[in-house]
Amino acid sequence: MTGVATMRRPRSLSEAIDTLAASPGADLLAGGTDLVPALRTGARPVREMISLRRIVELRARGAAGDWLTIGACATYADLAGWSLAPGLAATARSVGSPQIRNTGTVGGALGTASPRGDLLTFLVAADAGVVVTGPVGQRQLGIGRFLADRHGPDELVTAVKLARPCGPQTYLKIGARQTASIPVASCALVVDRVRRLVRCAIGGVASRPVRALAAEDHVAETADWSTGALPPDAAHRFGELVAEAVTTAPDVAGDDVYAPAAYRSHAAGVLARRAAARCLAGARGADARRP
Amino acid sequence: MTEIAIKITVNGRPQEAVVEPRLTLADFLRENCRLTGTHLACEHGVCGACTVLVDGAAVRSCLMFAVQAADREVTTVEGIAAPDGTLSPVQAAFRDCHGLQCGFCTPGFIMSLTALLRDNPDPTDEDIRVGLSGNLCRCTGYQGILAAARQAAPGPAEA
Amino acid sequence: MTGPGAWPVPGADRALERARIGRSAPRPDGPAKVAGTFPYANDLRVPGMLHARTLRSPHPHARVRRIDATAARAMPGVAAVVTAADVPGVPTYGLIHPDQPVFAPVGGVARYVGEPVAAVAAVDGRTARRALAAIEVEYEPLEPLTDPRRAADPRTPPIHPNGNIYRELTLRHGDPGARGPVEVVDSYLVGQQDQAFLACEAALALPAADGGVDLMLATQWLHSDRDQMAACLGLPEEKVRLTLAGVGGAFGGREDVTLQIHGALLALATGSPVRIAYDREESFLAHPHRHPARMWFRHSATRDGDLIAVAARIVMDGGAYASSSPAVIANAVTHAAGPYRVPNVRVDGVVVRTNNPPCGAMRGFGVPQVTIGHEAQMDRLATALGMDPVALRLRNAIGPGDLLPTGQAVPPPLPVREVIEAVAAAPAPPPATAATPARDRPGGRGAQADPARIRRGTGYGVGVKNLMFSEGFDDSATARVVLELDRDGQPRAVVHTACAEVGQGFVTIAGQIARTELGLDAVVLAPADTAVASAGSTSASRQTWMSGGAVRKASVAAVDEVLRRVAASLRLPPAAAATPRRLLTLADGAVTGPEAGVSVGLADVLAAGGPVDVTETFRHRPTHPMDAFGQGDCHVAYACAAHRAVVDVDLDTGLVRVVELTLAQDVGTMLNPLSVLGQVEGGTAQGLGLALMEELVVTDGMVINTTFHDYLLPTAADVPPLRLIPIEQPAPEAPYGVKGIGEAPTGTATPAIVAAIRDAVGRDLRRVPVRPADLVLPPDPTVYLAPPDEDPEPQGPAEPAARDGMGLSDATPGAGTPPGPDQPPAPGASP
Repeated sequence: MTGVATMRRPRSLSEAIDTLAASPGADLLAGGTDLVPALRTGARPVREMISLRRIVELRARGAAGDWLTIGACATYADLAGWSLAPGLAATARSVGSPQIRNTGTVGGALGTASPRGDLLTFLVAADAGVVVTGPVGQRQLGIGRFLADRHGPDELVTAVKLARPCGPQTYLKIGARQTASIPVASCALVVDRVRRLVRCAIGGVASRPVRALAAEDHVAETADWSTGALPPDAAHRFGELVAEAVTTAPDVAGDDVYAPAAYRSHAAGVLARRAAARCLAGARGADARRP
Repeated sequence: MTEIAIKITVNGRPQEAVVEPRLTLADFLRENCRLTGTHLACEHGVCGACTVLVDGAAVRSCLMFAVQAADREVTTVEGIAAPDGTLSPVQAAFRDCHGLQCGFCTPGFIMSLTALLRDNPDPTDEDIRVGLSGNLCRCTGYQGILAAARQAAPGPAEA
Repeated sequence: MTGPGAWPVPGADRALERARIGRSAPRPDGPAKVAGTFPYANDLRVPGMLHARTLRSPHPHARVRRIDATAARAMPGVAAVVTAADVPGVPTYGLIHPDQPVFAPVGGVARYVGEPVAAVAAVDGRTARRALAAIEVEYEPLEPLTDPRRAADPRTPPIHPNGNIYRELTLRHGDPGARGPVEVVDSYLVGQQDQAFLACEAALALPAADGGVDLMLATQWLHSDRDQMAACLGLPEEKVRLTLAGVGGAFGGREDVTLQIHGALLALATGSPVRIAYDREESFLAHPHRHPARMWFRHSATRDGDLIAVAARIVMDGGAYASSSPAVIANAVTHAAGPYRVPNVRVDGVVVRTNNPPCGAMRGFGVPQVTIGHEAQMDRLATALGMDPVALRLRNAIGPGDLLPTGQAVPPPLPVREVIEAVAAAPAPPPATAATPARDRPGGRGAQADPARIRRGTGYGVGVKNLMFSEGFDDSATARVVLELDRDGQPRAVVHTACAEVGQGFVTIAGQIARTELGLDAVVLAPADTAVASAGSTSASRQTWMSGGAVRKASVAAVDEVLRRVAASLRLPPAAAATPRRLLTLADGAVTGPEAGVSVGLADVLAAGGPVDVTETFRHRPTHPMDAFGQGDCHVAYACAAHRAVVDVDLDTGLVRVVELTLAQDVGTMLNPLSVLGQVEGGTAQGLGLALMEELVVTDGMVINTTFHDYLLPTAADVPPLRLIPIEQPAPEAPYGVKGIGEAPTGTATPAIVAAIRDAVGRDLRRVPVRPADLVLPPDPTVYLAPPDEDPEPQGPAEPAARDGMGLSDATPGAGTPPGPDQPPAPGASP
């Protein structure tokens, strides 16, 4: 028998925490773009739902000190023009269609944690912090830790924290159409010119975004950090190392409807070179070298 | 006991109903309000045939529960003509430019384009193509729809 | 109750009302469609109606051991459960051969994933869904036959009493052994495309007091549905009445029966109205798709570029049931040489039964597949000859009077040369530059393609498509025209046909024809239904010619009747009264005769003599079956088209952006130019989809991608502007000289885009859709199909199915295979 659906609609975060404590593991409903079809098709069992839409404090976004904070119920459309977070804004603009961007939320992207999720890939490259709140208060997890352990059944994601950008950032993706498509492979690159490092995450290729650590190290070592430039050879090598990171990822996706696995790793390398060309002056032209 | 009383303003008229939490906004509009101009073609949030405006923003009503639209303003294709039935400029343009054949995608395109032109009254062709890429049409090849969008665009704002 | 209503002429605007043939009259259903009030089949509701759902087999091949619906029937809110045991009439149906069970019966076999096993009617959809889950079905899974190569092998046990071969065709024209000094040989594969009409299947079934049933539904062919329904329901045809509800697209996918019989059975079983409707996933499972094809071609030419011979082998996977497979393979075989003059042709074609999804009609009907093959071959022949591909095509372009591979002389007009010259002469789009914004490059803004790594390519696709039904099928269309007085005493015409308006615009054309012939602006179209005789299918590019011809014929007859009445009332001499058109004219609502010095209002004529009510049936010139060598005048007429595609390809990612498409098309006479443009633009977009992204992926008989998330349709950002160059040469046999225009461009857009990609990347492309991986990874070896004269190795066990489930890498040749049982001369319902 199909379960009985109930929905609570708390008006404040504390009320939401209490509600969740009373029915741990309830489905959290924000934009609904993932949850609604999953419930309709029966892909998810029917549980109690807690709608977060009325909680105004979850929709806030702001900057304080070195940190940017984005409420879990901020939509992609809310982020698409945010000048303080150019990489995040570019990622939000690349999501789905206008209708989805008007509805889908940051918290939803984390709650669903689709391996193809655009935002998730960027957040991994940005080494974002995920703020979860429960009966004993709030705590912040690194994005990697969050993806590995998730959060407790009595906790919910309330915000995401990003360091203020200290250099160029970009998000590139390959889909099966000119626009409005799910990424076959995507690449988020975040350059930190202060700490003289880059972080690179590849989406769509494994069960969660893949960090290309060896490739990141290679850039850190070969870039001219006084100018932020990367020699073309190094950019080319960066692409190769990203492709290798995808191939050797522990749970790399196999061939599927969208593309063969070999194409994903190839495409990831191409996107990584392009991302480097956009973010690290001097790397332009690396694309022109045949792999 | 699990049903929820909601009030949604649909096309300017308050609609009160007691609904199941899992009732989608699309089904609420089609079944409860008998506004069948909002169409369902994929129910996966891809085709855009169910596009409506919620507080002015174009959304897919198949991806939203009716409860999520509570206390908000919803506009459907039935709500954009003038009270005397005169078609809106976007509606008239679709009719005039053969922007439709079977017409099943048309209400969704009309709602998306209505929102697009409100935000960008003088779009380029590429603005229109990308802005409408969340709506699928299987009949027209989109050229008639582009022609309609060009006709309906108010043009650059007066200086 | 909301139901399908008449489409009125647009209201107060006299200029619009006066739209007659040749003008871009607006759609009469336009205002309702843009207002959201047009009732589609899915919108129909009546008080007290029940909701139906269908239980489908999850197995590609399984014996049904037992069905126990006791628990489902006992559930509160469940009104009826029907299975094969409840089918009172013939247990099977089908467009050409009735080989498909209404439900897979106990003791019988379910042959594809999605085959109906039972159907439920309940008070609401959710209860019906729960009832489905409560039906116990015990299956004995059987080895699925998913490889067409094995299906074609006579040693393979049949998976149906009718055998595994739907139809095998041999075409021999000229000297089948002829060869030339320059040859190109290769294999091609075309994936499975879905019609993907946007409004999923839906119907409302109403039990009638006379024991019959009324059905309001979205379909392409009311009378074919009715005949199949009546046979299975065990009812006389007059007790099965169908009315067309609003149809949200079709493209061939509504030609077969899907939910019609199930809905009617449930309405009759419960005595209640029953709404039956599919969602997208069920729609993907329920209707037949375009046939996937593997093709081998050998083109032989002189060193000057004159084609000497074309040899081809075509293997199509028809899936589990016949649908229109026998007619589809005939189209593929007879069109395999393309719009070229070829003195020697040999084609072996076979379409087989497998446990894959059934395939049937889709826009182009067997022709797009072979057009992809012959156009790739022409390009490669041009390369082998060192010739320009346009020059090679012009040199070999077929024309009126030339012999087709069937031995039929090309009926005039067929401006193949003109369409090729027109697209080749069109100005090229400006080249991409470094300033081209990223979103206009391949992959759009997301991919940020490097301008230095983008290559532009140009390609051509030329094709010919037969119009209307073939092979001796007695095709007809009927129209009724009633001239009467409306409530205000004004004359009006009511035009009544059974022609399914599926979006193509017949309602517009019918009104234009009636207004033109009747000289009357007030024309109303009655809803299409089975109260009038058949219009035939809305397919095969046939309705403007056929039902348009019927409306014209009935309108002319109605005018003749009016003139006869006036002639009689004026007591004209008998000789003059016999041919009143020589003296009298009906225009603007009045009969005038300058020579006779009369003017009589049409209203007065109708007031005095009552309504004029005429019904006429239109037929085209008869066609003939092919002989054992594929020779015969099997097609009525042809239309040709040529596309030029310009693409940009990102060499690093393999992403493709179609920059521009130009189409020159043989359109006969354009009755509504804007409507013609809409049809060819839509057909072009579907061809683009097949070229780049649309493919149903079937693995071990399972369709993997049954949502629009993973079955990708082109968006507005993927379809470029289309320039249409209409070539207007009236077809003398057709009403007003029209030609059907919907199908030809679907077939030519795909090969033009593939050719443009080939031109850009310099790779031989053998597989459609062309995926980005095909452009940057090593070639896919599974495309290969053995030529027909190559003896196969003895067959081992089945190889694992290829990604597309066809696994034809060394298929058995057609020669030597005994003809399938149950192969009567194909009636050639060639939609």
